[in-house]
Amino acid sequence: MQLSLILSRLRVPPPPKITRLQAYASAVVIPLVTLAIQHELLPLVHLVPFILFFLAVFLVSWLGGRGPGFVAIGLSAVLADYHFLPPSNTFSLDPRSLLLITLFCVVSTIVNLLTAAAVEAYAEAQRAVRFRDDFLSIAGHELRTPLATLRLQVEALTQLADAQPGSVPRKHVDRAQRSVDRLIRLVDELLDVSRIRAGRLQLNFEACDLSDIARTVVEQMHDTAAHAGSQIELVAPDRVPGKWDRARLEHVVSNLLGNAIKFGTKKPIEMRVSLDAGTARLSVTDHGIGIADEDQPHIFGRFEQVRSPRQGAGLGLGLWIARSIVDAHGGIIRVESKLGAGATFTAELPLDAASAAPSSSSEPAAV
Amino acid sequence: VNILVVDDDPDLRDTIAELLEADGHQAVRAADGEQALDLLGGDPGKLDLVLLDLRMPGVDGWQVAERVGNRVPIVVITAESTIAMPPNAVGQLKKPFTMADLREVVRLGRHT
Repeated sequence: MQLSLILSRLRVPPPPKITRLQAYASAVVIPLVTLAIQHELLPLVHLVPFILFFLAVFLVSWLGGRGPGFVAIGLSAVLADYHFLPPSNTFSLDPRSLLLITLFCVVSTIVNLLTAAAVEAYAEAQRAVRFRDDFLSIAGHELRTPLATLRLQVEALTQLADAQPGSVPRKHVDRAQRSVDRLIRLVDELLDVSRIRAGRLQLNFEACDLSDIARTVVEQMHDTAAHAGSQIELVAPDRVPGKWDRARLEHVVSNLLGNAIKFGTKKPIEMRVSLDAGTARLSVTDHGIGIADEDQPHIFGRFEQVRSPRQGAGLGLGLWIARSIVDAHGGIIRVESKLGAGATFTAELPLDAASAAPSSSSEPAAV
Repeated sequence: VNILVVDDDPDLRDTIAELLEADGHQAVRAADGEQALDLLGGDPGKLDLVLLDLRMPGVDGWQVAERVGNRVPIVVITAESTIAMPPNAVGQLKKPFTMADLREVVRLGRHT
């Protein structure tokens, strides 16, 4: 278990797909080619007669696995004995030769087993990752049907509570509504993660307005903020037009604002939108718990959530998704913060993301 | 407006149908593609709109849409935004949708 974990970390790339026959053919051909090459390098051979054959075994083992690897070991031992162990061009069976052959067989067997295990371990690890991503995607979609029912029913209850005050206590309905909204956001996050991981995050660039996006999100989250006891101040010019994916930017802004509310300890929150020199900028500042210097480089990573006593619940995926979306727009996102003094998150976007964005939007490099 | 609601999830199907009825529409319910085709085969002239789930066991939404053709406007209900839509669908309800979304597609479907 431990060993396979270490081996999977080696990230041995998967070999090309070949048939069993081809694998065994390579177990014969590769040692023969090695023999030919080693003939050209005779001076070296006198030092370590088997030197290149280790490489041959490794190559065969990588290509075809253990079985062909053992065939290559046997053939290599015979070839090297015949051609390179003195006296040359005879099968040398003196004690020194036998010792060398045994040593070669032992070491190359280890090479063979480890190589095959490393290939398998990495392939297995990749299968597990793919399974997890597929599972996230399927689970996310399956959750949407009961969520749809729940959302409509809670809406119906809200209407009933409004139409006949006293029939359903409003506070219960509001609580249910907030929970439904949160569930929807969490499911959206799961699906975004599986899309980003699969490189399937498709952005729909359209003419839109960052100030308008900011206003919409502040409006949407007004109740949540009020419930948490936070005041939001929005400073935005009339229009900051650009070409972006509006729905995804709303997601980014609501994520930043959601964090500010969550970690803002009821102090006022400021959102600023500005435009200069072809760059649109949106920042969200809170005056809450802040982020320690040593944690700041990690917060945009996947599944990272800095632990703290005041920590709310969450998947810790929000900022990773936000960064993936901003990256896919050809922009950058950064944080400035002091522990205990709040944090400012700033997203900078080129005005025309369609021409500035990287051609393929995939997972950002590991932090 | 006479609306056929096709969804294999009973809770969602009943929720949609009841909300439509509360708005004064007539809602006919079908639990799968086969039932939907039976109802549509009878007298599709009576129906003004079909709300159609795409992923259903047996006869799925795409097959229903293909058989319906352009006789009745179809709005699909789907969980995936990237999924292939039947070419004759006039609209899409993406789960989890709101009442406002539902009213909007009914309005849209009626004017198609």
